[in-house]
Amino acid sequence: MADGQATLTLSSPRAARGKSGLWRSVRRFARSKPLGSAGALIMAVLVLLAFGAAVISPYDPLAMNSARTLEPPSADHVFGTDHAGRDVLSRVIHGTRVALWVGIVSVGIGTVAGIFFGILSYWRGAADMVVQRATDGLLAFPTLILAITLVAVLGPGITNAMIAIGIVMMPQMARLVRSSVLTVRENTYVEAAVAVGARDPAIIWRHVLPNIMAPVVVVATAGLARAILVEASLSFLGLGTQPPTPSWGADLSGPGRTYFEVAPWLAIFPGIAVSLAVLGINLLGDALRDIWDPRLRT
Amino acid sequence: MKPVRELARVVGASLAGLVLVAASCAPAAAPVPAAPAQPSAPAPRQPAPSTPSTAPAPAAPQPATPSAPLPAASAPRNPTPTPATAVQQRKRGGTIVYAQHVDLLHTDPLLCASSSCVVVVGQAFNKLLQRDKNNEIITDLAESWKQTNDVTYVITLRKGVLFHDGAEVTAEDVVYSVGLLSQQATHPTYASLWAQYASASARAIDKYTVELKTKQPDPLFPHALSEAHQFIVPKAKYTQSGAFSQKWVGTGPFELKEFTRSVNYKLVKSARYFEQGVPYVDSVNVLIVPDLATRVASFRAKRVDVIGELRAPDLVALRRAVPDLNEIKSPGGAIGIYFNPFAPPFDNENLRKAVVFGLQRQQLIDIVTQGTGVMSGVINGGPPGWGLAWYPDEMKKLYTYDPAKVKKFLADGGQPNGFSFTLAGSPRQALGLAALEVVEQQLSPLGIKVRLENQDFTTFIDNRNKLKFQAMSHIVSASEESGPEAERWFLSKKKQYGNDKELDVLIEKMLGTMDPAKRKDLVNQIDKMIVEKGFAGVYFQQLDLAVSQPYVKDYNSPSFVGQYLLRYAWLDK
Amino acid sequence: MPDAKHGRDTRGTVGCMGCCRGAYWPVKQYIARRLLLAIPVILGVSLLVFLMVRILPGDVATARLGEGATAADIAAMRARLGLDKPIHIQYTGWISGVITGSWGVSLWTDQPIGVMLANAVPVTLELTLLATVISLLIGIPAGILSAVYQDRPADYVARLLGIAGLAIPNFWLGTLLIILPSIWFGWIPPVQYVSVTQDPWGNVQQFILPSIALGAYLAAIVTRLTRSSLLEVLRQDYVRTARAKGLAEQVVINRHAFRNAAIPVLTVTALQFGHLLGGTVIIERIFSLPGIGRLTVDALLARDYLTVQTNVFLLAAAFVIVNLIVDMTYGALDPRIRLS
Repeated sequence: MADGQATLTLSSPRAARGKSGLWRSVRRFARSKPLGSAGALIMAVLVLLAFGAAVISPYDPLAMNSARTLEPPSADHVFGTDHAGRDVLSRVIHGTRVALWVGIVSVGIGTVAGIFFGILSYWRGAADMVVQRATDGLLAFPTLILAITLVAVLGPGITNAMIAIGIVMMPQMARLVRSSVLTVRENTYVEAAVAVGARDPAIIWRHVLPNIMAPVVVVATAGLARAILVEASLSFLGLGTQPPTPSWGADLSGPGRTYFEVAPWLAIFPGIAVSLAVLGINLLGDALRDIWDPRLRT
Repeated sequence: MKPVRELARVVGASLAGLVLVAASCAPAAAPVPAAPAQPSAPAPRQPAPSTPSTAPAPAAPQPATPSAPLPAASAPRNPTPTPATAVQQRKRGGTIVYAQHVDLLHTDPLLCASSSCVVVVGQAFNKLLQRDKNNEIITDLAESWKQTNDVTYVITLRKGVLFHDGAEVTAEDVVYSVGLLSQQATHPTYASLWAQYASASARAIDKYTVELKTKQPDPLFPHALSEAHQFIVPKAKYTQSGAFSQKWVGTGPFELKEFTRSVNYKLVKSARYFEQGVPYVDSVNVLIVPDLATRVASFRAKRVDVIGELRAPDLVALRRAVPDLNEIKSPGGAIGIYFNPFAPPFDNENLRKAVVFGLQRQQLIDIVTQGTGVMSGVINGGPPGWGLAWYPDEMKKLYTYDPAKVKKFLADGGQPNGFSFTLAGSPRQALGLAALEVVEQQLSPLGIKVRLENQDFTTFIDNRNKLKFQAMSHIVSASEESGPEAERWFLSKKKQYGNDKELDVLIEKMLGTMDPAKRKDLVNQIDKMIVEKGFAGVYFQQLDLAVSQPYVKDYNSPSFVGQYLLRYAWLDK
Repeated sequence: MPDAKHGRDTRGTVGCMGCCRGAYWPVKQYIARRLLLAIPVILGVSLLVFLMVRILPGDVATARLGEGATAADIAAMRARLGLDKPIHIQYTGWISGVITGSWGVSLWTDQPIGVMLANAVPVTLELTLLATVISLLIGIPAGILSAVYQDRPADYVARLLGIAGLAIPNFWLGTLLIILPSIWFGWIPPVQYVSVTQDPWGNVQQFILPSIALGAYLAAIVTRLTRSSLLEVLRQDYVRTARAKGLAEQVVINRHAFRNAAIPVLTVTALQFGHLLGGTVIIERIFSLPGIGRLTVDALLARDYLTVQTNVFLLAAAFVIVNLIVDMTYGALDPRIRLS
């Protein structure tokens, strides 16, 4: 792999370069993709907030104080307080946990299930046909209505919302994996492996899977952003995260809208948080896509 | 209009005794009390106690109830005529735009039993009895009302009342309408309510006289009959779910001119209405606007004149938006935690009491209702003195917060280190949801872990009917038949929220007591026992809230029965 | 897709090899094949939604009858609503009714579903169409600007705005569009729906803000896609040739680049349109538009199986048909697609 190339590929022997190599790659990334780096930085901050929420938050996000309700931002409460006297900053920080958790788990479910079904098309024929029609069907189902129905069936709550969102994301991932698998199948090294007599599972594991990971990661990143927005929409309808867990979507659509005229900070800060998270994810995803698979640009 | 003609109209109206008192003073800040069913007719109407504080009536109200026993029953009185000047000042014309959040379930007026229907149906139809703005029973289509014995009432109808198609209202129509309302299969929700009122039959004695017989003596029967939905329809025209659902024929001050489901219902003034001079406006347009923030914004932008279904927090923003708006309040229901006493953990009385007395009610009132709620038992909205809410000092004592007491209950209940349970709520009861979070915070330091579950309304009702819950955040609605309410929810065999022999005995005793004063005492004892045995952890009694633009006058009550009174509103612009 | 081993189309469109007298026969076969494949998809969706609503807890008969109902009453109501028949009979009865156009009555309100849909569909259609048009009107020029001035300030601004459009939840944008004008100017769109034939100006006032709220996301997608698509085309050889020939940049863009760049943009837009049809639920709620999204969710919450099934079926069918049309148009526009 010649030096001076501005792209990262999965097959480059990064381990051989060691720590300084990693740092150099990061700096190269930062220079060539400033927007993507900004996105990565935002994501890093959010992850930090999510893990360190208990330590970083100045107050307990659930602690109520009826004497200090609806206070504007001040030194004491940097983002103000809500209708129950709870600190908005702490709630926004803790909301990061829910957002990222919901996003990652639901995208995880969608990705794993999508990969599983997409891989089935390696063996063209009946399985492929069925999977194709099934994904077409699920994709034809109106998204939000599917999510609402699933949550209604499973019951409200954060876990069920994650499952529902994961199911909603699965068909798109399956479709992508399918087309990637079909492309990769035609490659010479797969032909060679078949000729040599390697068994299907080995081929899939060693050749197919690694080479579809790039587009999968890119679509999964976009899916992460979508998952956060869908969770916010479900919370708007009262079907997502349940009280008292702090959630950006629930805080936005509940107290945020009720008190907008007298206490706009209740809505502004969670709104900024959602937008920033989605922004960061999209910026990072864009950069990754530019690097790994320019053909995926949509 | 020439002043002379106006004066003549007013005098005529007064003589006919048809126009209500519509006092232009603001309603009391406190829950508006209702006069009790007077045992002898026509009893003097008790003035509504109005207090500036949010507490209900003075500590120990003494309703001026003569102790004459039944069956000389209460006669709902005729509406009091308006003083001439008030009517003269009222402007006529215009359209009142009213926004509500949910569509009518059904456009058949007799199948529409929820609060979403009342505003629309209540303007186009009349009932035998009604409530005035002070929540007292007055006659509507009935001209007079007599109780001849324990179970029989004879009603004389007003003569010359016309349906919108010109036909006259006769006893046949009343008998027909009443008969319909008692059939569960075709008119479900009414029948279940009607059966509760223990009505058995109606019979036409002559063209304008109807005899009603109840199954059992019931001192609160007129109260029940005056509640919403007992509308009178023409026998000749009514067809269930058929043409009648598209074209209503009623007796009300407005006719339903046109409607588009999910969008709006346009009611226009009827020329045939029997009450002279009413309505004042030309039309009422009821809009369906599902989102609360949008309703508030449309009120702010003056596209809408009246919105109801509000909670105290919404008023905060509204007051800022329209500084001189009218705030209209009437007593609402008792929101709280109700338990499933037939299964663990709440078949254990001590654990129930741990939860009931682990709540800090003042904080709940402050945070959830901005201080407008009042401490209450389960029974509320009844006549003054019926229900613990009328005795605030007693309430404070009963609900004193003492963590040590709670710890003892836990220990006695076999869970000294606390326990956990699931509390179900539903978005339809928005205040209940807001309260859930506070409840969770209050019980957590005591070792009681609450898992909150927000269910959609259909699932919520289904779970409740099947007893598939541990505890529910529910609202026992303000209703004026406080006795039957206790039976309906707390009698063990009803399999609802009560499961105790002592309580059952007391409830049965109360139902058999005809003397109002004794019955009131028993009702209060029941209310107290429900709390003391831990069958209900009531947070507070809320207020039903509505707001109207400054130029909307004389719209006085957002309660279930009060929507009917929209017919007396007028626009000062 | 060509098969590596045989160089022949593996999708089964046989008969093209060597005897392509006209491009028509494969197209017809292509259309027929796609149509045939669409049917099991739509039927599959119908079966899925039919089963899913029946798993929901809660029962429409119980909900309608209220608390005093006896078991006999509930059974009678269920019989009246047709819910006592065996499941497969219910399904076949429903699906055959939908296909032949007799759509039954709502289990909750007894209203004919056909009438409810006739009122609701135009609302959602208008909203979605307007949102799409707005997104194109904003997105395409922004994307072109962004591509032409690549990596300069205009580009960064457009790209950031594009990402912002993707990031703001549409219900939040909708809320701001309703609340802020009411606070600042004392104005909101009319909350009583009027059709465009009844009152065109009132209708426009009512639809402009929700269309923007709904279309912002799509506008962002269009911007980004136009940009990347145009950039890719501008790199192509034939563009270099055109430039080398000495043609003005404007002509190059208009005549050569844009038309080719437009294809994926229009394709994605059309696909998103189908997608949007099912995504109007929250905007309809906020702006009081009695559309099909709101109708479906209300029916879902009321356990009105028939209405939910029929609505979802129609939305899915619309989505599949839109996709089909896009595919066929795409095939007609670009012969390379058709033949593969």
